[in-house]
Amino acid sequence: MNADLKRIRTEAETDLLEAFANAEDQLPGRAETHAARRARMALFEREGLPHRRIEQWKYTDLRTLVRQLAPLAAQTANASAPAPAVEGAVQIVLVDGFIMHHDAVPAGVELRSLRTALEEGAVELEGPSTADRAIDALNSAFVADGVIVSIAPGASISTPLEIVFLKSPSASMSHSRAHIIVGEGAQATIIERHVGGAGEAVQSTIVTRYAVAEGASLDVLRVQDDGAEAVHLGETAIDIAGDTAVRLMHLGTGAKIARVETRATFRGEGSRFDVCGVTMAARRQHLDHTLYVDHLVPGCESTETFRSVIDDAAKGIFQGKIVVAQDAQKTDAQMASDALLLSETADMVAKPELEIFADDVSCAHGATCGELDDDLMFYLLARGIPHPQARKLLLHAFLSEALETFDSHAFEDVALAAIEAWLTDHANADEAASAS
Amino acid sequence: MPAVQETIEQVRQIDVDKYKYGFETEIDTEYAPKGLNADIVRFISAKKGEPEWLTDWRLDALKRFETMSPPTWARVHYPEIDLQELHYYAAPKSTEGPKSLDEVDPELLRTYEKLGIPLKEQEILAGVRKQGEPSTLDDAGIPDSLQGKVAVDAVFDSVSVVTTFKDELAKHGIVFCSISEAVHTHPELVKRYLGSVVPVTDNYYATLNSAVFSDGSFVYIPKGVRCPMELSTYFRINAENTGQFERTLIIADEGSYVSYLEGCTAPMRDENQLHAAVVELIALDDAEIKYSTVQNWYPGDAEGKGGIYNFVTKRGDCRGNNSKISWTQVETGSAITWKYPSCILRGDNSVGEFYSIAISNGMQQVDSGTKMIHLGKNTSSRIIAKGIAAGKSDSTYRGLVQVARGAKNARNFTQCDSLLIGDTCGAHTIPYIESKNAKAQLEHEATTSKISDDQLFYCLQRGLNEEEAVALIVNGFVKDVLQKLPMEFMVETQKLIGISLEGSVG
Repeated sequence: MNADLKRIRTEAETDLLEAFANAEDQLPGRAETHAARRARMALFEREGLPHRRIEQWKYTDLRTLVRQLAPLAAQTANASAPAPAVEGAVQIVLVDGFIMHHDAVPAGVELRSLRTALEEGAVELEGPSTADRAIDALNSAFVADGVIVSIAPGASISTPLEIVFLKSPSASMSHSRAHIIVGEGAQATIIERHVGGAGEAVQSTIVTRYAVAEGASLDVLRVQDDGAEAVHLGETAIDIAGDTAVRLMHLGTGAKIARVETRATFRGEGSRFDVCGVTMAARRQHLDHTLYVDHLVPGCESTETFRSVIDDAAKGIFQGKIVVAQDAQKTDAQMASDALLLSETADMVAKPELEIFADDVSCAHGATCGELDDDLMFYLLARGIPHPQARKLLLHAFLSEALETFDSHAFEDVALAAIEAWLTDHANADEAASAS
Repeated sequence: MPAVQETIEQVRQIDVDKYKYGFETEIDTEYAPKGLNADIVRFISAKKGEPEWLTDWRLDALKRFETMSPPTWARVHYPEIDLQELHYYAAPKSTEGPKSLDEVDPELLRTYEKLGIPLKEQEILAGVRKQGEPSTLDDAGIPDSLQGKVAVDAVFDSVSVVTTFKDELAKHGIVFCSISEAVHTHPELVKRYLGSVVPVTDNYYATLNSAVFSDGSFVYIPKGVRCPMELSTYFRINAENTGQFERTLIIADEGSYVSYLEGCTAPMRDENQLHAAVVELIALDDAEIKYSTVQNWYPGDAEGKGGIYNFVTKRGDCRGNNSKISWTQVETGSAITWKYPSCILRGDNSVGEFYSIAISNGMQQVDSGTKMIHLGKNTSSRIIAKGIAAGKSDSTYRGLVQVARGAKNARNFTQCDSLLIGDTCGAHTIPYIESKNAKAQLEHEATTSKISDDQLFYCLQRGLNEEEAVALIVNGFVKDVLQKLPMEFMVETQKLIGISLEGSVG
């Protein structure tokens, strides 16, 4: 009775399959790895790129957003990395997914090439091949190199480790991957920098996987500042063992189309995960942040705080899903997403979900969406503060509130500087617009 | 001692069975042959003596339906329904179209009596309040003689058996009859508004309904008239292997007001029965519609055997400026509930409201919520949803708040709270918030919790047993919504909440 509609492949989808067929021989890994790659590719053969009929991709339809696929990037020998975001940070630079260079790492930190690990069979590209994990699937199919960072058990690394995911300035597709293993009782600070591409149409998938062992403590700062024409598909998956504390701060301002997925899974009791995010979108940017927090075990706490400012004809998307499994009693999870729309043509979508199977829990989420409060604005204007400054002041206050849960000064400085820079850029743009 | 008597009564009611409407009426029923095809659609249409345009409309819907596949996005699980194994039309033999009360089969009247639905005019719903007692409702403008009356349209399987108080309503120019009758008496209204809120191809079950809908209520409130009494429809599924596909259409013309109630029950059976209704509300300038539902279809037994699949499309269109549509629902029955009463806020300054209590126990699955589509300027909406899950049930709130580019100063407030009783059930919240207008202000909050031990201890310590205490606390939890229900439903609902939570403690 139901007509079986045959899917028509878009140009990008056909190109994707072709790119894989051409590249497969050169990709590292043993027979098992190649089988895993092909299994992941089968998803795209079957389903194509994720589209709006797939619930998790409802608002970021890659079939329509990505019409053309850029050629696969080759390894480049020289590119210049930006100065570290936090002074004194140790840089590990990946260009289009390939390790280019790294600074000397402190004791207790070990770096390995993912390529070598794949060739030796020390690492497998395991994972589900389902439409909701499309980014990981795409990355696993194509990934050729990357970095494995291991922090020795008990090591306390005070120097931040900055992994720079640099894209070379030519229209190309790249797949980068980093695995970070934090040993028992270790302490570490990781910065993910996503930059480069200049004004070129670079397309990239970036997967970072964190395995945080018992009693460890990890701070992550993720700065997504890709070029103005970039397509950024990122996934950060964090496995959290018992009695650990993980904090993640996300700053999203770059790329034309960005989909960033954060997936945190509690695997041991008594742990804590705090995530905060600031998204600033303008022009015709499409910035999607999708968050999954899975409470699989009892007695864990999580907080999720997100703030977005959307200007011009940009679109902001926040999807957050907290799952509390049946065993996960005494879970405490609080999620908030607030957004300000700055122009008549800006869009915001929020989908904060709760999926709860345990009864002794305290879970809540809140979402708001609106414009700058007229009363607050009036108050500042009445005190003689000119309109652009007043607006900037209020936006600054709104965005920086998301960072308050996070008491890492180094991260806060980076975030506040990014907010300041964005607001200055846009205040100027607004003034220029009103002058013309 | 009246209190003792009351207690005995209550215990007896509970003891017999948890679902007290599970009986079956022995009555001669005429069926359409099993299956779904163009001939069946023509058969239904011919049975009702419908004009050609409506037959064509149905056939067109069927044609489109054949290209559709069942929706899978909802958080409910059920085996595929074999639509060819259903009777799409079942009617008591003694009923050939609507008639006066005296001619109705006494067996039918007894059925409704047993359900506590008075079909005799002048009567007042049992157990609510005696005639002459002051009402707490806002009765402004309603003559004393009419207060407390409820006009009822009784739908039995596929046909409307009787509609009460028709004459009295006719004096005010109000049309309240079955939709099959309205097709003949007011074809221009039906033709103009049918399918104008829920288009034929809106979704899988709405399209199926458009092809095979059998009966339902039709209401038209003329300009400036405040409907003097509550209108209500009582749906009853009786026959086996049937699906009920009713269609309700309510039109409130400029400046009018109507409050409409809907109730539903079905016998206890081992098989699952399909109920796929479509309800369309239209509010023109300054009109207000208040639509209340107490849904108590048979939920199936503790193992999840049997029960009604309640797949319903309900939508209101605030077409005129300053119009208002308010949905209130109490969902306690059905094996699976899949419904999203929605408001399209098209007119400027229009208001949409949604108040819901969804209670699930046993193996029930609920995926319900609302959609508020803000199109006009200064539109506002409010959503209060309370979900209570017990036993092994799953309760999901799924709601959309959408603000279009032109909906300046739109305002929404959403609150969904879930309460879990026991650790084998699930409560989920899935809101979709989409704003395209900076001037719009949207707020959403949701919480999930369990009954606090402190509250329970406090009640137990005062001599209540655990089940009573839970019922009391739950009643407090849902109070915000209960207050929005018409008086006639409140007493019934409070009892219902007690009954559907029985056995959930311990």
